[in-house]
Amino acid sequence: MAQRKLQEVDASSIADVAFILLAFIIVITTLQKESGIPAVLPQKSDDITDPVITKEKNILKILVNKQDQLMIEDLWDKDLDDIKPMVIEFMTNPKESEDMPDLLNINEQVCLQNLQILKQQTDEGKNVEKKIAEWEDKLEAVKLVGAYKTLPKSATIAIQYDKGTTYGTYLGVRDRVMSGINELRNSLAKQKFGISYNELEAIRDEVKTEEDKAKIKAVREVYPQKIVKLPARNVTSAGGA
Amino acid sequence: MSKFRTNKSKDMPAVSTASLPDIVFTVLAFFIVVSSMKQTELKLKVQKPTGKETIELDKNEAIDYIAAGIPDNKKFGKSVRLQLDDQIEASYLKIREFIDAKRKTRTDAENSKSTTSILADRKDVTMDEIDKIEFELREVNALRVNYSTQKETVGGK
Repeated sequence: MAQRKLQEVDASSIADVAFILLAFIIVITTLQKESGIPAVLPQKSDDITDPVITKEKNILKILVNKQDQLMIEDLWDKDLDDIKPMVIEFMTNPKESEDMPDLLNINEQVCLQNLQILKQQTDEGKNVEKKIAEWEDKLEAVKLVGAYKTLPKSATIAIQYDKGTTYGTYLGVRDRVMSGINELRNSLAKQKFGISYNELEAIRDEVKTEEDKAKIKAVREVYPQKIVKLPARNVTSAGGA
Repeated sequence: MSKFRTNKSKDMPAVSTASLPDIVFTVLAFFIVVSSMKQTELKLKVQKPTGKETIELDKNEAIDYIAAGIPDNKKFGKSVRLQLDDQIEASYLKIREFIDAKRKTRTDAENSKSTTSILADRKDVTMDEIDKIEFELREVNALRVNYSTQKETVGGK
């Protein structure tokens, strides 16, 4: 009897199977990236300092009550979609309305003047380092985007909420506020640098150049993200309003 | 028949690919181990809120997760609990220990850039609970937070 040669099972396709498994696992794991809306909490010590008294017109008041109803600038029955245009109007004040914040005109001259005054004050022994840093940042921004208008320092977007407000609704409000700010930032960055702010931000840290960082900083200087989260007291329902 | 076979062809023998599956399986095993080590199983019912401005966090930064929601297992009760790592906690004070413990595993440079991601259910969790979490985070100076959301698709209301 002729001895049959032992036939080996063809194993070359196992590699293909394994590769498919590998590709599947890689796709699945990279999809689980953490995403969300970032925020920076105020420092603990901020509680102790005296509350800054801000003019009524320098605050954009957005309120969400226990029933998840929305009030913008003392008007009830607002929708989440009303927030974004309000935020944009508040931050740019296109009609120079009296009820909206008076925007500051920032240009090179103003920056240099202020820096000079502050330097004099330093010579007199006053500690104004923080203010100098602020104006230097503004000067940097002017160099990149040219003269610009920005909100006064005390202007804030205040999101007030009740203890019983659901997290989802609050975050929805916060998201829409961010939408407004981001739209302004995007259009400014597009106009000045030809790339939107979101795209600038999305550049990975390792490849981000100093120039990119400076651009981001400048855009943030023009349209700062000043959101304050306030627990509201005595928030009643919208009934009848 | 000759005893010594003469090579009929002088072609190079094909490189054996028999070991290729082994290599690929090793890589596969590595990925499975690494990825399953990273995430802990969520024992709470958490449906993330949606947000249009959702952005992806930088992978290179350290992220600590604090989850809040109603536990799946009824023996933990029906009210909102926290989950820190594997543990379901009722006390918000545990957040401090948790953050401290996480910090000890990293360098100072990493800690300065670390983010705490708050993974909370959009309906069950109220702002009262979020406030308590944020209060504890401020106590331990962990100020960079992330409200974990799902990207809202454009056009959907």
